[in-house]
Amino acid sequence: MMGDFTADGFKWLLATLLGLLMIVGLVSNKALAAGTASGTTVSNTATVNYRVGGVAQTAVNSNTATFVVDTKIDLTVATTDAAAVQVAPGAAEQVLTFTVTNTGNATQDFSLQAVALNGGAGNFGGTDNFNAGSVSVYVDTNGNGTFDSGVDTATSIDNLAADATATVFIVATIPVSQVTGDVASYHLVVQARAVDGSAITETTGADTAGSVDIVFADGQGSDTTNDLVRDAKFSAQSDYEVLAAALTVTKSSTVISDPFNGTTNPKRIPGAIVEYVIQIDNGAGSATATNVTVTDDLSTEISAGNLAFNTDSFGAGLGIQVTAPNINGGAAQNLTNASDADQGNYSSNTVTVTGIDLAASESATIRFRVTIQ
Amino acid sequence: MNVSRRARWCLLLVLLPPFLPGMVLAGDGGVTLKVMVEQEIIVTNEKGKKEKQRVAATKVVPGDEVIYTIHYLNSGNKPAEAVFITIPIAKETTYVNGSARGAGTRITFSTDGGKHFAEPDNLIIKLQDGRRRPAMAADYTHIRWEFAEPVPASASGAVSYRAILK
Repeated sequence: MMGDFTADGFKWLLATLLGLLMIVGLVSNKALAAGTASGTTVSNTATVNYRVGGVAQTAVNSNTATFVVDTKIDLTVATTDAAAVQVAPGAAEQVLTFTVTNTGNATQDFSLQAVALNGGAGNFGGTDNFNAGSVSVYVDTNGNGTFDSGVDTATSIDNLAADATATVFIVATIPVSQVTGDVASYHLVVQARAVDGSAITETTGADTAGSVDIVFADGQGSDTTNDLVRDAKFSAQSDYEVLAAALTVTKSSTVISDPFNGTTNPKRIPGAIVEYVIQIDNGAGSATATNVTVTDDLSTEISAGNLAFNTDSFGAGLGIQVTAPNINGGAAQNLTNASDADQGNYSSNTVTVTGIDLAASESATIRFRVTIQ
Repeated sequence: MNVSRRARWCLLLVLLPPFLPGMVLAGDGGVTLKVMVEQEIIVTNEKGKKEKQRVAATKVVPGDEVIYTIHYLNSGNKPAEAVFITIPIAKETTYVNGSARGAGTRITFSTDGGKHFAEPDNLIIKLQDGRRRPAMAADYTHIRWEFAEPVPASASGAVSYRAILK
């Protein structure tokens, strides 16, 4: 049944067309997700139409009823980390990333605080069992989503508009003593503040009509100790999880030759040349180990007169050989005994090789030879 | 043409009122309206129980519901006939579906700025791409209460609706 539209086809058609033309312009009315701006006056006037004795009277308007929109303080905080952030022992400036959104209806400042868990469940499973060092909180000042040391230096959020989002980082150093599987979990606790940075007090008691009051509408986030419902705070949680390299070293030896048998079934007798092989393995699933240094101090055996280091095993002045994925494309590389630009040197009876990088499941070997005295 | 004759007649009616005899002039009584906007708050009464209370709407934030009440009074000495009250829904608010009340009234809504009114089931929105959909509470621009019976002299009452501040 059509209300205003009678059986008169023409009138209906014209009215409908006019109505439809009007309708198209009025449907989309985008409102701020955070709501009507604080301080807005909302007004309304009603009209009554009537007849007396069959005669239409002038339409009468009511008073204008108004109210002023107050300030709603509300915010959300979330981590954008998809999993615990993997960190190496001893690593500095390790970053947990969060977003802070002003879901209230007025511009506010926001203070930031990192709160360490002391035990308890991490955000991504695991149990918090250590605290990182040198913990700081910084705003993503240049807004590029990445922590830029020395550039992202603001420690609180300044003038965040209704509906806007800021990115915030917790930055910390991982103690070098931590081992694979250790978890350090943190809450980022954010509090809305006035635009001059001062604390906000919620308006309680009877309201002052026509002036803007303040209502806290926030919920409770991850830190249930420091963050309550309707306290102008919200919080979210993220974790550091330690992944260390897992290096194992094994040393073996092979007799290359002896003075009597030559290279056919040589025996370990005085005059025999023995090749030592030191193998370094990085465990499966481990962090990449970089700039690994291997040293083998032969002082004891040499001082006892048992061994002598062969200085030219692989060529003149080349007594050390390394095979590592990141050196010489993984092919065997001969190194000089002298302290120079290459990775190896022999001095004070000690073989040293540096600059080896090993990803998970990779291996490197170092070879050198001695003569049994 | 049927349409133009009807249009001319409507135009005439619009021009006539100031010149017709028998009209009640302003100041002779007649129907007046008073609009109040309120909120419901939860208070603890003297017995310690929580109860709802209505107060003037002064602490309103986005998401809050406000109650508009339109009080009417026929202070004339003759009944008011064919009475209808119309109110625009403030653009900062959204009508709460089903909340309009008015004893003895037929309630209709407009989605086109008050040009046409119909019951919810008959309100259709035509989208810019030509598709149609039923109108929703968020599309309503006006509410109208049409009184089925004349409002007697000295009679008063109220109609109301609720809206949510966007």
